[in-house]
Amino acid sequence: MKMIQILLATLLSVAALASCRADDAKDAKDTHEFACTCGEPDADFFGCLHPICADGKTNPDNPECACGPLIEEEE
Amino acid sequence: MRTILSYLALLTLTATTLAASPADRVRLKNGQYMVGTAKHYDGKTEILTFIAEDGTEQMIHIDELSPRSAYRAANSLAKTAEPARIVRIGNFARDIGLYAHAARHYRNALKKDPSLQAEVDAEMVTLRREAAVFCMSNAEEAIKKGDPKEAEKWLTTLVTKLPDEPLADKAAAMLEERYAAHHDSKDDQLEKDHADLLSKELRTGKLRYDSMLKKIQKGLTARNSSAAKRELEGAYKEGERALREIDKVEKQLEPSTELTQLLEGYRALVKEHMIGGQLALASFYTTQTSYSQALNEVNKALALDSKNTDALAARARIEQASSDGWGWGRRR
Repeated sequence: MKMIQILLATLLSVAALASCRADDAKDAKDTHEFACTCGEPDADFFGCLHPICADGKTNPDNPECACGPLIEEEE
Repeated sequence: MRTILSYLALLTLTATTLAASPADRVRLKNGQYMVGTAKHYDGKTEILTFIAEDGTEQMIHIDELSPRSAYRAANSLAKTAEPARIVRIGNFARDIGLYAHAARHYRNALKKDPSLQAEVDAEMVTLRREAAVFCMSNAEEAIKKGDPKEAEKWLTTLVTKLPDEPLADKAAAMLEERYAAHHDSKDDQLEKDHADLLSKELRTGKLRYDSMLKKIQKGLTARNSSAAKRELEGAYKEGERALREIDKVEKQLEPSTELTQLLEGYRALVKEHMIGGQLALASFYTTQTSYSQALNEVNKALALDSKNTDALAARARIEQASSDGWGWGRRR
């Protein structure tokens, strides 16, 4: 019984993490309109419109992204 | 057995969690990337504590990092820093060419401490001057590469976003010199292939088109914003008239491949220029913080082409500026 509980908990945790990724995918779909332009002159001058960047975070997929702090300090 | 299963479950959870959390990445001045976890940045010593992938703790001075990574390290303090420090982080961003970041830091510093207005105004003078040099250098680089569209984009940006900068005069002169040559030639092939139709049925439409181009050119090169806006508004109206002429000719004449080619060709060119003119007009309005007017102008462009990426980006930027403030304008 205990074993089943552990397995169930594991499956649920994995499913929960997978659902986070599904949200990421949805975000990516929403971002389709504006690609991350960090590193390009347009973004330097106007700012980047990619939702992650516009949200003040760093886009992990673009090594040139300078949006967002390196370390999130708590207020 | 139970222990093994529990261990496996824990291992799965840990592995999945680790896979889901992205690693930090910083670039060193020598171009190498370091991947790991940024733990702490000390603003006084300017030392970044970084745990590399192999688990070793690295102490990296900000001077060892590439400008963008150094900025991100310094930016870690921006949320909690006192306003004077936020201005310094803004200066850092500005000095490495991240102008939009700099303007945002200045705005945030002022929100926290309005008494810094004079200091921020002084830093903004430098920001605008450096941003103007940046625009001009991008334009000159594009000219060197034979990319007139990119050159025009940066010259127009300089003229509409930084109209009071001395370099805006040079940009306007360069636009005046280059605009006609670049745009007048866009319908050369159509003129050559359909000379007869253009001299008869579509003569009025062609006159409207040429007049629209002239007005856009005047709008972009006028060194007075009222005159610029008047010309660009006039250009839009001429574009509308040209489109009406095209529709009229389409209804009047017998359909043919040649006619379709001509009318579709001009329709696309008219719309392309109308959109360009509207975006320049919106840019003038944004600079003057007339955001609703700017949105109106962009929406007119989107009515011509709802998927135009430049217009969609312009709309998003105006919406952003209307909520956060444009922050680049000269205080009057």
